[in-house]
Amino acid sequence: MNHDPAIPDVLPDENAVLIALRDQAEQALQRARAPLPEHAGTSIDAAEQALVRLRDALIERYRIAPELRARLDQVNVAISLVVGIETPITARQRQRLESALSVIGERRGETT
Amino acid sequence: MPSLGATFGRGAATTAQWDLANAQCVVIMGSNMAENHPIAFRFVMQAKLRGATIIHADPRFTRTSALADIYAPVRAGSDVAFLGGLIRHVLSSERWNSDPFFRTFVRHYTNAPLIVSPQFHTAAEGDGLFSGWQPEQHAYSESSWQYEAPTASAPLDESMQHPRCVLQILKRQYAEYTPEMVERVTGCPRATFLKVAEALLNNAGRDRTGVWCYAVGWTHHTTGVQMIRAAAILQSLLGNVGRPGAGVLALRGHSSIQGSTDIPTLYNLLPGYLPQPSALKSHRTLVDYIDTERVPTGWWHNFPRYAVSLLRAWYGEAATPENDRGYSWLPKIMGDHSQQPMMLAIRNGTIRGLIVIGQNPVVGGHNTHLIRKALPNLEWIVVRETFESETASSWYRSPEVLAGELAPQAIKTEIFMLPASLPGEKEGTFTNTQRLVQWHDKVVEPPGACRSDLWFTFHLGRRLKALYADSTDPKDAPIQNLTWDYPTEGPTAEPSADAILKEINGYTWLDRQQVASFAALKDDGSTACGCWIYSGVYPRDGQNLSRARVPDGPQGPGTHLGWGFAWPGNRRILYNRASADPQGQPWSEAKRYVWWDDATRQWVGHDAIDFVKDKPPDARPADESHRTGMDALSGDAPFIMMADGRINLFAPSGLKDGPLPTHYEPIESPVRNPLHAQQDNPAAKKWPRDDNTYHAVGDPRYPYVITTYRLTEHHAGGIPTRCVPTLAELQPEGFCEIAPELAAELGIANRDWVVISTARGSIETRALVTERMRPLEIAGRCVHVVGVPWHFGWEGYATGDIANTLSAIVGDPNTTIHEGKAFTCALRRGRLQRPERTPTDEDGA
Repeated sequence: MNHDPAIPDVLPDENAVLIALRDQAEQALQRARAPLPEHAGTSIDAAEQALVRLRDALIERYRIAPELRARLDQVNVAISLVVGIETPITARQRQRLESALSVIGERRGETT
Repeated sequence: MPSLGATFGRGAATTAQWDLANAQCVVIMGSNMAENHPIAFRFVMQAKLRGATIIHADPRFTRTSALADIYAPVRAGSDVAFLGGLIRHVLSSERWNSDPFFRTFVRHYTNAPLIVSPQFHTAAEGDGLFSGWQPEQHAYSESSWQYEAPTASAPLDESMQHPRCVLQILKRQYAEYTPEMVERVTGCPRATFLKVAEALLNNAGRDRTGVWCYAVGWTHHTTGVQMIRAAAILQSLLGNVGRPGAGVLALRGHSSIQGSTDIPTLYNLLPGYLPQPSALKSHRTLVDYIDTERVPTGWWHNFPRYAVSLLRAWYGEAATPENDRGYSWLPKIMGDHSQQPMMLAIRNGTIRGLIVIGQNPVVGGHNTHLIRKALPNLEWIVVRETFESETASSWYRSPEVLAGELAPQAIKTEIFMLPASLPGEKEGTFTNTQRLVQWHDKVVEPPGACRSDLWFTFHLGRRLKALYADSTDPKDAPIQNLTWDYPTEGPTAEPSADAILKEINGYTWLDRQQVASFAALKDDGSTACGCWIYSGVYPRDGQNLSRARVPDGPQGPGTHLGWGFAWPGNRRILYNRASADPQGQPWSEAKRYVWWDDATRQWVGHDAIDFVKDKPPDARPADESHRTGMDALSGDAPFIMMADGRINLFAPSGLKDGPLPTHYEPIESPVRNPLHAQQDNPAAKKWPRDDNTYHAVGDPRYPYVITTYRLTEHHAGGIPTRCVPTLAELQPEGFCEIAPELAAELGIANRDWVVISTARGSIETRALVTERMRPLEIAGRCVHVVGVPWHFGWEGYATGDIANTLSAIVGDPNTTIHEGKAFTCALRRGRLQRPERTPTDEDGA
């Protein structure tokens, strides 16, 4: 399922996993912002998949750490923004990628 | 059916099947009606017995063609070219221009005289693109499609000669759709096309009417909405709307599919065609939602009554003015959440669980190789079925498992197979093609653990409410506040379908009295209504009109108002005010249906009146300061759901791919668009990715057109019929139909194994070599069409490879409906190399 070779499948420890996954999601969203037209669909899929990996990891952690709820909610917001994007990407759709990036980055100062 | 909605005002068939018998001409296109709607086809045969001309236009010569007077072969996907040619022929004919009936109907009842913005240009004038195309937005701006002034005060040219009036725009748009061009694009011989055109014209007018029937042969294209629009425009030009033996009959793909858009399973609609609130529109509050969606003039001005009554029905006492009637509890859509993108979201891992009811996406979805690879990403799937479907058994029996691409041991998806009851084992209603709501009783108890869909949904809801009862999380408020108090019956606690229908009809909130019709609904919370268009089906306690079974006798009138309930308001022919002339009198005795009775000062006739019953034909709109709602419409404006009461020949808004139909090639085509530089629908939805690639135009690897279709003996995804021995015996295995010329070219004999391939996948099946398939001459070259029924799968007694393995995920811009009716493929004699593998206990089989 990992369509993005830049994202490793194996990560060191649990907290680092979340941080790494968040970084990967950010990077995937940044790449999707300015894709070559013929790769637009693929890069958005990669961004969606990166966000999903972060979400799934957060769900696992949330079950023992309910304080992650706000973070999980934000990632779900970002997924909602990305899932509805259609290709080819229009200016309005690109704005959704920006919003998703902004949502993901909002709590950057906090642990995951 | 956004096309019928954008044209006439309601997204539904304008007439009923039995009314086909009143037509002098019946055209069937995009449908093999004799085989797929055999009951409705009886009325076509009745019309034929009375002398009507029956026309069938289709890529295949089917049983419908065999019973028609004229068969017109057309290439799959070229329908707009054929219909555009008919529009041109009508507009330029002597008959249409000399018989005052046509011009009167068109001038008064359509927007033909309205003058459009000088910024507008047609697709013909824009090499395939209408004005307003914004390539950077991948969408049209509708601003240049507007009238010169807002609808209520838009200037008219009664002579319809103004170069920017809609009629003249139509003439310009279709000027190039000559019979020669129709032949070049569709493959239909010029002489046959002209025969069709003349039959239509000769059977239209004051005394004669024609009707069009279509089915999914039109909807399953990236231009499907515009195909239906083209027929609606043609019918409007011929005065064939709102009259007996006229209209556009949308033959639905399943029983109660009409019901499933009325009370929708569609992601973007609430019951009664209220739009689903969207996070992408100005829908933040209820006031925003109403302000955005309410149309100032015409019937839709009543929008707030229907929205507020729906919220009252759903949230009961919890819906208060202070909390916006609970509006914030409605989910807001974020984009396209329809089936095709949903499957991609499953493939991407976004969706974690799937409940499948009345569907078999592994067979009926598109690019089903992708779907079968996607499903293992789910944590769980619930399949409610009468037999184990391919969707339930894909994890251990799919071709991908047999080929070793998927290993059952590695699939973690938990499958819950819940046995479903059959129609005779449950009570409820069907809403069929003609908007007719009919009750059916339970005949026998369902066996064992089988339960109705109603039971499943109700008890799932009860459990969810119990689960979230103590939650303090605001996100759970929609579940907590949902009214879910239907009475139950019997040992299985089956919820009462009768009580649900009563809620759908609507009632007064305080004293719980059924409302007689949607006219009684209010926007102040004093009424509750589950679906405003159905209001009237249960007008008082003990009177369930969907149970009514009183047919008209031989003496007529043949509208059968005592049989079931047709929404809205039990009207059988929609827009039936148009069956009278602008002065309110029947266009002719032969076609008398609804008329103004001066003595009683009301509209009378053979049907429930689809108009303000006491509004005289000479009524004129209120002065401008009071010009809202129905007061804005005159007494000769029959199309009450439209803001100006007129048919939209030209649609200034509501469609994403243009205000008029124009010919585009399917996304995959063997030829360049012979009409324009713009090859395919510019607004079509595409999802290009490694596992969903499209063929380039004229790709020599995929030289044939392929079209998929259904058989009489099987139903949709096949589970209801392939598992029934008697039906399976009639059509026991999959096959494809090819023309003898193609068979000779490829060395294929009847019953040989063949392999059909696309970039998405390959299937093997048996060849049926038949003259029913005919090579077509398209743009100077011979094009062959391969026909494949899509019902088959590996489950049941009748099996075969899944045809939709071949199709792509691609969609009409308005509906996201796929293009299973026209794409390209390769064909060869032989079989696929497949390892033999039998499921073992280890697989969990």
